[in-house]
Amino acid sequence: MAGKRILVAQMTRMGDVLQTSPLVRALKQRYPDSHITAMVRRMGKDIAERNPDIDAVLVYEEDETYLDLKSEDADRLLKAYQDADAIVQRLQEGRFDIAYNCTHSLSSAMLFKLAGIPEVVGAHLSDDWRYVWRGRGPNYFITSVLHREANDLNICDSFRYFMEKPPAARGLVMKIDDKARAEASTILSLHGISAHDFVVCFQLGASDRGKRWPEERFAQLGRALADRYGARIVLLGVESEAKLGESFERHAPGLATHLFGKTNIAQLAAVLERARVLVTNDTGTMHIAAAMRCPIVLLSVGYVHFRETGPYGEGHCAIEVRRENVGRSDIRVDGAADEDAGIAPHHAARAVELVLAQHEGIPSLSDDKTFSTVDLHWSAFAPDGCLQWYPIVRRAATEADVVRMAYRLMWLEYFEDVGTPNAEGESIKRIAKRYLPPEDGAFWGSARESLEGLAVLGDRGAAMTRELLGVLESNARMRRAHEIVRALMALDEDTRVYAELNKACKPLVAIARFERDNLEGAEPLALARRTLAIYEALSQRARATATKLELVRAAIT
Amino acid sequence: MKRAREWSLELATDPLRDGVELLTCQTGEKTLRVDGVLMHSRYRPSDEAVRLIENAGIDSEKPVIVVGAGYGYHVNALTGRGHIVAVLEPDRGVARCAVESSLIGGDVPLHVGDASDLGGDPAFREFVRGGAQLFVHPPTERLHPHYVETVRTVLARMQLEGQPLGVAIVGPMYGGSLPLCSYLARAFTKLGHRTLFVDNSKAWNLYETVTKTVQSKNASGQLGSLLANVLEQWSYARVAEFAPNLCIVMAQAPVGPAFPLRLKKENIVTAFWFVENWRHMPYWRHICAQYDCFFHIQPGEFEQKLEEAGCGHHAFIQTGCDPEVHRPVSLSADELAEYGCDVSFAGAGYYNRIQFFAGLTDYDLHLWGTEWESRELQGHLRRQGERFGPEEFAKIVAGSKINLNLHSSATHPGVDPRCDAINPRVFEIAACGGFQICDPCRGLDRFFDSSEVPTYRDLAECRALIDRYLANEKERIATAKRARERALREHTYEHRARQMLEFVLDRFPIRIVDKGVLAQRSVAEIAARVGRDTALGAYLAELPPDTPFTQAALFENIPLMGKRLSHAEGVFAYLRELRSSAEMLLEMFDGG
Repeated sequence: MAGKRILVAQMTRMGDVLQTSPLVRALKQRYPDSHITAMVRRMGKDIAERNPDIDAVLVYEEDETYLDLKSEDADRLLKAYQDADAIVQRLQEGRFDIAYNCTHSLSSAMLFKLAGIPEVVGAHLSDDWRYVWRGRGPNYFITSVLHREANDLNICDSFRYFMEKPPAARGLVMKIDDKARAEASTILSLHGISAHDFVVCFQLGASDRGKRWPEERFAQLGRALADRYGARIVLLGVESEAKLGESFERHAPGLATHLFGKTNIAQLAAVLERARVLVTNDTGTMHIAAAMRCPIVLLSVGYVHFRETGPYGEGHCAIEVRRENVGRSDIRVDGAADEDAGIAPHHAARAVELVLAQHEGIPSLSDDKTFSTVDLHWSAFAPDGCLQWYPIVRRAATEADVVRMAYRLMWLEYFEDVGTPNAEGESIKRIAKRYLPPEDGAFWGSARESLEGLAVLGDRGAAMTRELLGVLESNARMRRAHEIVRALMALDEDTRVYAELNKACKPLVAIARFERDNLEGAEPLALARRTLAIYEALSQRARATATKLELVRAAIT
Repeated sequence: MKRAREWSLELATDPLRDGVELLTCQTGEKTLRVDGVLMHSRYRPSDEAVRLIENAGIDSEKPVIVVGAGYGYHVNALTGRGHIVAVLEPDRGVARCAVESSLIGGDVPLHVGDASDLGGDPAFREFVRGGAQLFVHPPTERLHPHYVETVRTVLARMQLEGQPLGVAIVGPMYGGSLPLCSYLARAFTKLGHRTLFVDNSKAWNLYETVTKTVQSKNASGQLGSLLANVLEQWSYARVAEFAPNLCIVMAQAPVGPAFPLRLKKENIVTAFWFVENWRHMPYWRHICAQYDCFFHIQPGEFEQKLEEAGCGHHAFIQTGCDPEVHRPVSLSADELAEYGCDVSFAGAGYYNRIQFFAGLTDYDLHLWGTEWESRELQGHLRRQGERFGPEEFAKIVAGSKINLNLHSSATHPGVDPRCDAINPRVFEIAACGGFQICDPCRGLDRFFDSSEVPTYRDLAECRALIDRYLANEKERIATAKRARERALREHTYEHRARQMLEFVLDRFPIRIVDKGVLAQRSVAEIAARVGRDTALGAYLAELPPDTPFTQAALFENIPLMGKRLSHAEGVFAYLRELRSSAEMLLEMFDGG
């Protein structure tokens, strides 16, 4: 890949551009002579331009094209066509050898197809213009949302695995210059904040009301931090979030400095670099803070899944309400509704204390009633090279915990990048010791049995597909081929139902189905060979997960 | 507009007025304070101006009209980025400081003072034609909000010149205003506008069934209201989906006062055409202030009443004729036997008409239409008082030597001397080439003179006219010809539609520009524009040339996934996907 031209497309939000930076860093490490172009939306341009691993930025803005189309105006339709054509042309002029499409939209896949980029990893179009995903990492990335309870990898690591066996990239990448630092100092000094002040930043907003911790709680926390540390509270956010600041102000008049819409990206980053801690909901600001190595307390409220989207870096703390279904995107829980039973200001204050202490290792808190309603997790890179969230309060592992741990080991093995067995062993040991053994260990056996049962179903599918291959290769008895295909369809349905009944198996079945849906081409023999590989992989993964489950069991008990 | 350097000579002699102060910033740069408002930051005015421009979302490809010169920092920031700019400044004192600051280049076109005449400035028009975008200097807007509004209005009017708009017409279920809807819709279409007629008459039979088959008046009324409410929602949905620039609601349409308010939220300009007599139909009081424009057919006293009721924008817009419908026809022998007569009247049997026509029964008189229950007139009534349509109306006119017209009154026994609501029949008979005599409704002489439509004030005069013109065919034919020529020249619905648009464009150009004006083209036009040697041109050239260049027509030809596509097909497939996925996301977002 030396000297090759690489495109990394991330056309979603600003935070996602930052979350793609570990992939870019890994690519640059593997291919130092390569030329890397980032394709981003306008809102991600500032971030991409401040990434030293990126050589060029291509701005793509589909909002205007959408408005052109929505207008139903003939001239604007022509403009939309010409704008799309111009993007295709710019992609062609980029002469990219490979594109990593971290944007999972069909429209992005179409652009790369039109541009004729020879190799696309992630969402792309087959030769017959079908929407398919290529690559193990992308397959995992796109299916992980179907079974978030079993996903233990941060999205940054998922993106990193878009490349084969990626080097580790321990953190997000963003650089700012002294000009931005000076401007940030000026902005703060205009509000009477000096270089010696103890600055604590709050981000009150979030993309959705259901992901917001109440402003009143922020205000209570702010007062506590001001009392304890003499902290100067700085509220960050875009201009439209100023109304949250007004709400904060009603609960804590005069306590905070409001910087809503007063900073550009670089100045915001410089303010965060200068801050002692950021207390935040799940936001783009959080990722900028992570990139600037600002310690973070993440209030993981509502349907936020902090393991997947939390800050990518070490020494951050995520607080989550203890309740069933936490972090499931299909169950929307209002952040405000967590108030009574959930995260209290004193929980957040304790978390601030922990991240300020800059522990060498992972801090521990005793499981007393102070924290009975919440879980606290600490971020650190595991020996396997990926980010891991470690419990701060040691509690009995649940079935979901051990299944998640087993799956992590299995996926990393699936990516063929587990490193050495020691890394795997060390990783599991380190996480396991943060848990007490499960209170009811009955599920160990049932989970293992269900995984073995799934492996048998995979074996059966593989055997039937081998027979199908034989029939196709002999070019005869087409009726028999049709019978086998029908039987395979029935088996797939049985397998799906089996996974519904045995939840430890569900993620594996989801990815196998996804692989089936992503088969490219129409040539029966080729299709049958790839189908065979999918059934074989299903069996192997099911057995591997069962084995990993045993490893986890041994480590925990 | 003239060059800044020319202004500098002219303004140099102006004394610096009170309230305009030059200040020195911390950086040593100068800034300006005008009537207490700082034109730029006192800290780093040039840096701040650069940030202001960076965050303004200005298209780098298009020239910029800067409203407000300030001290010129933002103009300098724009020219520094390579923009072509023109500057408009209301205050001569500020303009003087700005041109002296040397931050505005000597070649920059500058306009100083009142902006209302800008539309007539050739240099400004040329600048706008180049696709110029507006940048308003925020402190200037704070000081001169009306000036900024005037500039926006002038600019919007220029941008709308010759542009086709979207027009929706919401019609009634039933009644005299119903046929006018399709005439008006056709007129807007002929003028090149995108037009929608929401035809509520489709629900008339259902309405009749629902209200007439229930004996209780109370229940019947409630059911009728429920159905009218459904029709209002349906009308709103149709109009909102169509997203016009202007929605005209016709008299008697089944919509309430909230209807225009909902459309306003969509940036649609709303108008009501009250083709009724305000003295007989008082409901106008409750709705006239809810619409952006209120069109009516009675100038004079009514206009004063509208003002009193809070209606800010009203206009007298008369009904007219539709030459496609109201045209001369030849009658077959059978038709001549049926329609041929000396004198006829086609319309409803109002009280005054029944009284009046009783004095004409000694003529060969035909009466057409409904509600002619008077015994004296039954012998003259054709087709047992059935309704007639526009085609039949043209035949009635063609068969009558003299077409009577008498404006209706429910109280006066004959010619109503207070009448000021001219009926459409005047224009329709004229356009059909018929000879008519009419009562002298006030204002009629604005539309036809007596050489085109002779008038009578009472029965005696009416009979005298009948006698005179029955005896003089040549004069009858010549008069009818003049009336027809005048009707086609001045009184078609196209003329009325133009009047409505002129009124709306004069008062609401900014809203129309904000909503967006739709261009409509065929694939042949686009292929010619982009060139047939391009992938798009070649692709479009293979389609039937009159295929509309719309997403609906083009996307229909693009296969769904699973088939290899050409480049142009691929780009259209991409656009289709982009739109549908964005709308799916927005729907999810809306759905919470």
